[in-house]
Amino acid sequence: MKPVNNQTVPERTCGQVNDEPYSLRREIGRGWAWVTFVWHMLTRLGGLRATIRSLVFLVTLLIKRTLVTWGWIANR
Amino acid sequence: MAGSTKLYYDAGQFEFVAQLETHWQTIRQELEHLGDGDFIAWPEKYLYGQGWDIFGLYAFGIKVGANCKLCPETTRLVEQIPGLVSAGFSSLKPGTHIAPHTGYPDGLLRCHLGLIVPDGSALRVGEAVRSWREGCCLVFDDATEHEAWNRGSFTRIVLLLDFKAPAGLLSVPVKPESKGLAALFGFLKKK
Repeated sequence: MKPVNNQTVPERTCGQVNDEPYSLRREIGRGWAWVTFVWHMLTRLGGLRATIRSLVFLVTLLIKRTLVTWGWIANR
Repeated sequence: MAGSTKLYYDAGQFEFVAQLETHWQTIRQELEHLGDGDFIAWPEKYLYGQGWDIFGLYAFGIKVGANCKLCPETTRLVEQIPGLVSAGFSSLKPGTHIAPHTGYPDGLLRCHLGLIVPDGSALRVGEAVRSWREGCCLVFDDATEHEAWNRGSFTRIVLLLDFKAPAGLLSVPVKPESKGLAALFGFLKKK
């Protein structure tokens, strides 16, 4: 399949991507970014009931995906 | 196309695509009523630095009620999509480049409906580069390595959708090998 519009992949410029080497601090930073993102989304769910329902759903999803990753249940 | 890797899928084979493309200007009108403050930065900043923001309608099957109220027609359209998992607007500011990454092999396909598309913005999936077109859908497997960029002069915005792939359409997923605590949160990690 050929590129359309004669486009090729451009070079990424310095500073666009964080190439920080692996460290606990880096992982904590990335995890915190997810926490703030999820928190922001929770405030947009539309009420306490919706928020609680969604939290239960998320925990269930987390457990299910862990079991899939471990190969204990099939990915359906 | 089971058993082999397909990069882009024929969007026309999905019934909901015709509905979205027919009503794309309605979706764009609702998008134009949103402010910059309604969008939030995607958390994986190590992939792009800055300039990639999203406005979620559905996230992992959860309805983002307050956002859906701001876009009632778009919500009505996406709720008709069989197997919808996530939906929202994805905004890419000029000069932004999302580094190559892959999604979790969750049996999903991703659809982009082009809404505001500058020249110089494009998407690479596998070895194939394609540009978005306003009012047209691109469908691809998020689990295939992909990257996106905007070298245009204004912000690119698409309606991004994740939906469960119809049976037999995706290649057979590779069974994960990792076990233990590292695998516990491994599904969140983009390779």
